Amino acid sequence: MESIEAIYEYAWLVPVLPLVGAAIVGTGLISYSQTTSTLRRPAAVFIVSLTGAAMVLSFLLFFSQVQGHETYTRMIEWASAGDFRITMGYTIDHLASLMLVIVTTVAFLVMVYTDGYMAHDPGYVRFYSYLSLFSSSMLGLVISPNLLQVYVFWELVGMCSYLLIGFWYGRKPAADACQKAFVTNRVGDFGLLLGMLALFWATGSFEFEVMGDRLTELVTTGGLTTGLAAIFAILVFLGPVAKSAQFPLHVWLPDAMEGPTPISALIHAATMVAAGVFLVARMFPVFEQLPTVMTVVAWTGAFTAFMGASIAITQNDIKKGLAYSTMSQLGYMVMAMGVGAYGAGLFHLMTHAYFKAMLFLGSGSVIHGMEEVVGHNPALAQDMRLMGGLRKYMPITATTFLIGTLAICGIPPFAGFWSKDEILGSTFEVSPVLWAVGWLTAGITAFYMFRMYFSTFEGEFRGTNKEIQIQLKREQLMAMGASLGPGAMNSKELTLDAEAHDDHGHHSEVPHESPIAMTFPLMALAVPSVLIGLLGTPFANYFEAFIHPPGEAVEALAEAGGAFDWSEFLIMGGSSVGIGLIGITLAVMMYRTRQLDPSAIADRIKPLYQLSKNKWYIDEIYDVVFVQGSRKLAKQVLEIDVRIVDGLVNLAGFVTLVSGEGLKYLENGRAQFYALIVFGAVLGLVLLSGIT
Amino acid sequence: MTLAEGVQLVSFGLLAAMMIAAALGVVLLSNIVYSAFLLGIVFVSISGMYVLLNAGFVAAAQILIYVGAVNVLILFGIMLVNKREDFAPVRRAWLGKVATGAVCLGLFALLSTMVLGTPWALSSEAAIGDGATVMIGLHFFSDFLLPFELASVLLLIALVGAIILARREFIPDEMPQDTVGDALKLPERPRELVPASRDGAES
Amino acid sequence: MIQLEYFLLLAAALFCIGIYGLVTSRNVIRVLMSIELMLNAVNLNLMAFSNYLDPASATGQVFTVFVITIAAAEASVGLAIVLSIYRNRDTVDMEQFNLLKW
Repeated sequence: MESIEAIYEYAWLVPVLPLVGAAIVGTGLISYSQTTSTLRRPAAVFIVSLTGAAMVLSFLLFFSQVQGHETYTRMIEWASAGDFRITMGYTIDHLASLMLVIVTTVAFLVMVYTDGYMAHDPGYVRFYSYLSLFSSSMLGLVISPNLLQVYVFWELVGMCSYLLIGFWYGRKPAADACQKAFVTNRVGDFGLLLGMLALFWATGSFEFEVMGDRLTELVTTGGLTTGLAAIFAILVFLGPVAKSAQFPLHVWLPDAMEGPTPISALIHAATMVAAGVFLVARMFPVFEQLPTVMTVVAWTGAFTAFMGASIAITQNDIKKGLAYSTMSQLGYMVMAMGVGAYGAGLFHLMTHAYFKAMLFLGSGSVIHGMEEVVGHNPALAQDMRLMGGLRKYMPITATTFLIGTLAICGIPPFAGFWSKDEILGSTFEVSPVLWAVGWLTAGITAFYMFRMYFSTFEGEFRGTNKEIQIQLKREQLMAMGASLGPGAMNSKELTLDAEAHDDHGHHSEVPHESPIAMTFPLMALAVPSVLIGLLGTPFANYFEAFIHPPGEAVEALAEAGGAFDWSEFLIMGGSSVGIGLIGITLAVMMYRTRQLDPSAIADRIKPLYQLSKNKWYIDEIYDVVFVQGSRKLAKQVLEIDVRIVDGLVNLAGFVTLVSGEGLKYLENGRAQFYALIVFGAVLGLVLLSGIT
Repeated sequence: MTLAEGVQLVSFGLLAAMMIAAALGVVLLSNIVYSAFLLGIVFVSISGMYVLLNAGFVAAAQILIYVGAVNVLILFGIMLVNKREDFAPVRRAWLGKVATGAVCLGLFALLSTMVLGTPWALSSEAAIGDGATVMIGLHFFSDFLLPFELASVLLLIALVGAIILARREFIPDEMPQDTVGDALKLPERPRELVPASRDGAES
Repeated sequence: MIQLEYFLLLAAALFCIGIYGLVTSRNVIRVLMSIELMLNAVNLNLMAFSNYLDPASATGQVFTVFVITIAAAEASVGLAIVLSIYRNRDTVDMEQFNLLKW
């Protein structure tokens, strides 16, 4: 037992180990840039082994928690002023230990993968130090015992996300995307900050459970109106909305795919975006008591799930498609939280983390292979219209990708089935309408995932088709021209540039399988993607017994598990598998056997197709409303500033000048005149004081 | 004072009329030499007032210092700057004069109302009369000792200052050769004297 | 009996005449004379107060003596300054002495 206690005492090492790695390598990069950049392999091994150590420690903690160790919390006083005190520390409970395992395993595998993916990149070492910093922040986030500390790490992961999206800062889309991500997250984080401070004002605490208890007490005693409490909670929820890419703050996530693919896998699929769901889980004691908030959370999630799926149908960029899929799946998790299915939401978080990380890494592997053929142009290398038939060249990638696809589509016994089914089941008990949305989304998910799979791995290889390449380049130029505005750059120059770059990048006519460093993580992730769902089967729900809302008793769950209704499970599971199969069938007909022509269907429902293709025009709406709107506002304010504020300042100066110019004639150098003024002033003052 | 009341009143009236008339003359006459002499009459009249106020010693001091020293000094000053010059007329000079007159009348009205409106705490004690001389001396060497000594220092400073200011400035272009003979003379730059008349200045 | 107010009014009149002369004179020496008039007005006040309010201790007379002393010093220094200015500017016109201005 003593050794177990020791593990808990040193649990703080979990986030600190990657931080040490990031700090050492980062300091090296800053101080001896050239030398450190050449030490590629040692730096990578160093950082990966530190993360591995953190992973081992996490596993130890996790097993200890599984064996029923009680929650361990250690706090130190951070700041105190009078009776106001802020504490920091760490807490290891079931949820935290689970998250630690998820984060460390995915981070470890992604770091291994990175070695292969970034092998030729000059920023290899920098990438590793960012990755390590991110891991550290994320691990710190999950073991935070109170909302304030969560906020600190929340901002840190946001910053790492910014750094990593803009990793290739030389590319304009990447630079734009990282700013977009940062600004969008600011909106949410500001809400979170306001909500956090409001809750502190109301309850006087940053601890989750204390907060929940006091808030409930306040609402029941009438110290705080329900509406106000709901507003506070929704403000807090704005943070997860931004971080987990929920409507309406989802716009940054697809653009974040401009970052390197390992980042998309680690941050924008598996861990950081799940932080929003994690925070909702942590805030569950607060949200639970406020039905309005729960409804808002559930509907936000449902709407996001549907919107993400509907956009993903028409995306041609493999990473964009996966990004919208991520958004949709995050919507599921948030919806689960909203309907009170705490365990189901976190279960989906876990399964999704594994299979989506794998899908992203697989897409990275595909892109890596495609770059051999079409050159280092993201517009070409990531476009599914140029892929096809890759199964022949990349068997491991294709197999793992297929496993991931089946998992996300909810086909039993893959992981996604169990978690998604549990969410849908819980949702049906609360609201059939929400269930219908989720159910429909499941079908769409199956359709677009198989569309993606078929266009990428089946059929003929189209990578060498010059016609499509030229068409894609034209589209890229048009998109760039539109974003740059007319006259920003000569388009011919761009064409030539792209052409030259393209020629340079040509290596071979066919793609090849990725190196072992990249395929190993894929295979490693395939295992949980297949099996981990079995932890949470409705008839033997180990997961639910382990992860449950703080207030709920374990016995109740065990009883619920005992009274398991097979017929209900079969109806729910059957219906979701059914719609999944319908989606898959449609995809097979459209993209495999070509019995249906996708473009003909697209023409038939042109407005809907355009709506989906243009991402519901949300970027355009935001551009008009917020970007242009704030520019107009800024112009108005500038006008006011120039006219009124500057005018006042200038008026003050002018008045001074004029009065000085006028008064200087009194200063005429004649002492007698001064004497007259003195005596006159005496007279005047005496008269004045006599009158008043 | 042993004079009869009637005599006192008459002499006060005469002195007052003489003083005001002379003062107006000082201010208003155009000839500066007349003004200087009328100033002397003002001083003498005030000395008479002092006698009426039972202060023989101060009256004597007034005559000695003002008439005998200050007035003579002013006459000397007039002689030293004795240049007949016609001042260039200033535009709207009457405006300044009217304004000054208004201010002066206003101040006078103010002072008059104050003087007449204040209930003076008149003392019924008998005046010490000629004993005042002794009294003043006692004051000077007891409670007014410090001001008295300071006044002497001030006079010394004024003496030195007046000499320094009034003599010609000391910028010797060449040092005097026989220092023994001129040892007691302050070195002065030889300067052409300003001619007494404008015609002389032009030539 | 001569009232205290007579002397005070007389002094006030003298003082105001002095102010008038001070402000309107163009000859520097007349300005100095006006200042002497004002000083004498003050002296007259002091003497009147001494005689009517505090006849026994003659403090007012002491003050008058001090004022006379200072007036003498003032006159000498003032005239020295006048001489000095006259040497430099070759005039005694107050209107010309306006170098100290904007």
